[in-house]
Amino acid sequence: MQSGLNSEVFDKFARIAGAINNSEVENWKKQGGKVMGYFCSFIPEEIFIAAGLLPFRMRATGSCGTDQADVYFSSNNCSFPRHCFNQALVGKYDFLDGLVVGTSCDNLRRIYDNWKISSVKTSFLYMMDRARTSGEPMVEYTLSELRKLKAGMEAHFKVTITDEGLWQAIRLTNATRRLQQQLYELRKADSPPITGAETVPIMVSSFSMPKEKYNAGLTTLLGELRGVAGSKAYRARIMIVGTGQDDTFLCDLVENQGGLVVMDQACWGARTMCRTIAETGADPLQAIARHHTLDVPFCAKMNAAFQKRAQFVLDMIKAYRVSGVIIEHFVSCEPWGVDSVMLKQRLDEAKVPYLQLVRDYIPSQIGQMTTRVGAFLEMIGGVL
Amino acid sequence: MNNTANAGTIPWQQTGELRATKLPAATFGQLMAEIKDLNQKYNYDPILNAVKNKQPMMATTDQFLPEVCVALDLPYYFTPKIGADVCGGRKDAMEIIDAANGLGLDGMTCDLHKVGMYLLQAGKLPIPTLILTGNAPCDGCATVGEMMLNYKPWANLPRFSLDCPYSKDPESMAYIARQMKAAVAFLQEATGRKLDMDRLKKVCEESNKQCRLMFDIQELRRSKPCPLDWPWGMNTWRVGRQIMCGDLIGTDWLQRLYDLALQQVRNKKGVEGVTEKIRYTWFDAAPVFGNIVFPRLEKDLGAVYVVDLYGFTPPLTPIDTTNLDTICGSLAQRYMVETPMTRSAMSTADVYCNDIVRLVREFSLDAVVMPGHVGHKDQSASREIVKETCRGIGVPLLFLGCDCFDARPMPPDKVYDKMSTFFEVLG
Repeated sequence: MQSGLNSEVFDKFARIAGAINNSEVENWKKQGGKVMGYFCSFIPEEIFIAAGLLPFRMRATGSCGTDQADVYFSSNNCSFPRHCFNQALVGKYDFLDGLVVGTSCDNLRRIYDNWKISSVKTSFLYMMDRARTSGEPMVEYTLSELRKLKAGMEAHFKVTITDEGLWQAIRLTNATRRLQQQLYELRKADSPPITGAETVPIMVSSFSMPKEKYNAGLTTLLGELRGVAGSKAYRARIMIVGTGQDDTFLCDLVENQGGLVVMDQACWGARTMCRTIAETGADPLQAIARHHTLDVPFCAKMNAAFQKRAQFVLDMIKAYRVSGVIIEHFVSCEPWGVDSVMLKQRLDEAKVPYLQLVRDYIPSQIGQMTTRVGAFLEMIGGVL
Repeated sequence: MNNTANAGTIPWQQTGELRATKLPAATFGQLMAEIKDLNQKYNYDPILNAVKNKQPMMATTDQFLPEVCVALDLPYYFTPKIGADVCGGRKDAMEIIDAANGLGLDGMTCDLHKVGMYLLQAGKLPIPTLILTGNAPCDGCATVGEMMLNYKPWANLPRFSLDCPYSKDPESMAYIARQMKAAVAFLQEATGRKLDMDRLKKVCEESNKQCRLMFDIQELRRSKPCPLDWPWGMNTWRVGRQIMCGDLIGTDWLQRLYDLALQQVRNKKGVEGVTEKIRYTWFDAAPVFGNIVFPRLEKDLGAVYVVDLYGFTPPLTPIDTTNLDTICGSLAQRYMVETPMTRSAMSTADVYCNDIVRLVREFSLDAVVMPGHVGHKDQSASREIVKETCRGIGVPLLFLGCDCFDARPMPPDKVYDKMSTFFEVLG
């Protein structure tokens, strides 16, 4: 399914999302800029931007296998860190000047340790701890860890990260979030001017290029989208909840069979932009700490936060008139595996149909998944 | 709710005094047989009695504050231990695991947590009066806690969640110590019981004695031949920390085990009927199929399982009983830094590797077996780091990638084959 979108800006976003070392990164480096890679969505880009660095959120786009990474990781481990690390081992991340690994899940954390002993040489390698339980008393801990990261970066990159620089960065990333919120608003329509598969590269590219350029591009694209009629020729409005979503695989699976993905609660999607960071206050780092400890609908790795995650999903189901939810997670993901059990109970109570898909980062068993998605769409939306 | 007046119905330490029972000297067989009874009498019975008598009882995800719970006469269960008891002791364990898979949990989730989650969802866990969760040592523990917090029939229970830091710098340790102090306040409020500081100090002092004994028992394993067979490491931990923490009967049990081990060392005796040729560590939890694999390896190859992840007790820092702040600081140190698995899984890989190096050197090990238990993602993701570490100290490493609590993915015969081939190559 395609919306009929014909846009140079979109094509550029798609090219950026479709590769790791893209033209924007190359231009940045040519001008003497430095690039900071990071895992995952709770690592604040604002600190990197305030330090004059280009944030680049780590992904494994283009990966064909994990041959080299499997020396370090076992097949018990989630395929996302394995593919990402493999891409690093084959040189796809040689452009990085630094890498910040967050204390996320058990699978991902060891990337830090493996990176350290591997042949990949990145001059600044840092593991950032943070509160992994949501609650007011935990904000202070995240704040203290942010201060340590800031100090570490200042010492290594010989820069001063000022409060004013951080406030500017917050305003910049909030501008991105607001534009993305406008993009998502368009998807509420009966005939959305953009599909789920088209939304993915727009979101992914925002983590792979300078924010100012991205914001300018997205502003243009939003103008273009307002002239797109869209299509009502879909049989079900789908929300995707779970891990991943830095590629269009699942959206394609849905939309090639007549469904339309209108909303998500995914690592690269709505979770990253549905709330903005406070733009005023005594301390910008505190504003960031509060955002990541209290405000966002959180990854399943965040404890004492399921209610918020579930409520977000239920609210979005109403707001976007979702007819079915696909819960997806990678094999070996305990946090999302358990969350899915609880979320399914909430969806049962709300009488919302759902399908759970467990996949690898580079999916196998595509035929089986196609059949399951097709059957799910038929069940909730009838035959197109 | 105030249950203080009825606290005496719980069978241990009814009067607030620690018991001073001395049990007679025993054989290894007797000590092993006692564990089951101790587990029933001092862990499960108090839980069931509390439920029956409507007394405070806690569900938790790990042993965050065992000494405080003992001092409060608060029985509790933590789901990984229930999982271990089920997987290690019940004939229908595999059916329970399969039923847990039917919930839609990820297939690679640790069985101990699968069991806990299934029993919770099936309404088969005793209904607690309060919940304490924490996000250590692994994603499995964190998520079973999340499931407890959101299990609808328990929705109105008082709850507290500890946020366990990955970092171990003084600031991070102070952070978890503050939370533990807040958790102590929560436990008092939720149980309606006031913590008797003198009682807590006594429990902590007894716990210190136990930890010293556990360490001393471990140190005896340095001897050649190793005086203790493979199950004693995990069982020492079970009795000392999980079942009989701060209790004189537990101390007695540990003392008797120590005495027996010391006698073995003095008599230069190793594992019964085994001529020790190879000494190795199984650096993970002892597996449920251990009784099939390890005695065969001992008999056929003289390969002796000297120490494992849970049998390895780092020197446990005595609890400073000066006041509640120092106690909570010590308990934070004990839980985050000195408890097996939390110590390694909640740290960078250096900690796990440094422990292996120390064990190889101090316990004269010839080989390292890294089981790579399916649930221990941190270990599975450390295989190359461990390999380099072992290469650096000239000790061979075998990585298995098995499931310690479900023998079906890698049956015992296959584990035996892999390990025996590995040991034969060593010569």
